[in-house]
Amino acid sequence: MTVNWVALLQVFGATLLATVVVVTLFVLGIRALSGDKKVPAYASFAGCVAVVLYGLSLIVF
Amino acid sequence: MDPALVVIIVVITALIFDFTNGFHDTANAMATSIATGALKPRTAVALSAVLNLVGAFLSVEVAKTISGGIVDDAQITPAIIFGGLVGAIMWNLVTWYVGLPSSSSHALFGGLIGAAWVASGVDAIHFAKVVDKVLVPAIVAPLVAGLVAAIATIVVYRLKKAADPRVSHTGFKVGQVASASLVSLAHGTNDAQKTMGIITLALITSGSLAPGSGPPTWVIVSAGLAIALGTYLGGWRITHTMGRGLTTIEPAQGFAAQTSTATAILASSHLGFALSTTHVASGGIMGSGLGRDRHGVRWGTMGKMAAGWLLTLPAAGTVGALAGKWASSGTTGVIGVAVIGSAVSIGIWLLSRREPVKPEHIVDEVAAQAELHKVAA
Repeated sequence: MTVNWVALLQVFGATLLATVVVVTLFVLGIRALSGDKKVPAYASFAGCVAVVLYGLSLIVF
Repeated sequence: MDPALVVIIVVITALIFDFTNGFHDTANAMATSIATGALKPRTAVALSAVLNLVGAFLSVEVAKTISGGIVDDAQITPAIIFGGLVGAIMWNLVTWYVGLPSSSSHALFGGLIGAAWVASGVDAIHFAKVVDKVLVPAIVAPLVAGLVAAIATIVVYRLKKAADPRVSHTGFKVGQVASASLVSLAHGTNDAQKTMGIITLALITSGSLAPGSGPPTWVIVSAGLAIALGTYLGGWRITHTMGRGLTTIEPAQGFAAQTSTATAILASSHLGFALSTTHVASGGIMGSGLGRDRHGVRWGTMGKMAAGWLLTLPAAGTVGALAGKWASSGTTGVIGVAVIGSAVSIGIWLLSRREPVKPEHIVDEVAAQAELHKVAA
């Protein structure tokens, strides 16, 4: 009986990396928006969207 | 009974299961958004339904795990699959009525394994595959989602201190809706697949499809539609437990919990792990509760939920075994299982009508809860 631990480790790594990147970018965006810095704020939010779309593209293609 | 007729019955039953799955699982995706008032219940379920449908088209890996691995397609018949499905539906409806977020997926696996085991013998089950693709992910995925949610919550709360509270309150409500949408999408990639896998398996066992085939397009479309419809129509009762019973949720925390839940499910779906989205979502909510406040989790509620989780496989397995054995005995068996299954379903539905939990009830309680948050902030 073999368990594919590498695949499980991949799930953990991918989840950790993607989640931390997305939430960090999002909070930085909110901080920039609080200081009325529109350009960095929108850049952060766009970064979140890009990470999500990249992740989905990995699944679909 | 004509095998083609049994396949048709299996397809219809599988779609009903898919519908109850959506019905059961609206809660996972939308509970936190509804609880924090980020979305109105009706909008939340409509959004979730559409995204479940889209998610059903994104991947077929989990469907392949079910149709091509956990049971031996040469040793089982559509009638056995029918028995397993009935077992799963019974368990789903009972837990739904009691308000226990058990796992539709584990009900399905339990039902299928129980039915195959009793009707065709232990050789019909590929235990190695069950352990690798179902049991181990069932334990690991919620832990991964919980741990990552805890880390994400700590990051969010550290960094948001410097932000204007009003901006961050509105901002995280938007973030929460976005992350809840991702959870719904992820749900479609994992749960809708299970029905596709079952229907594909029935088609393979009846000889309509070659062994190892993926789901045909009509199967993908109908499974996606069934889960979307179920999501739209159901779930108030369980949303009640998930959103409020486990831990008190703020928008920022809901955002962190859901982002990790969605990512964990999507990554698992991609590798063909057929997991319980319910368990992963609960893991995410728990982890974020711990990340915010070590004492913020109601372990009592958690214990009750975990007990329900442990019961799911054997309970659905037992019902599935009985139904599978009877259904595989011939025409009378199939008809008998169908009649009893329908009677129990209608009975539970009628009982639930006596004290319906309407969306309006949840809105009122959510409003009261949102007030508390404002005072605390």
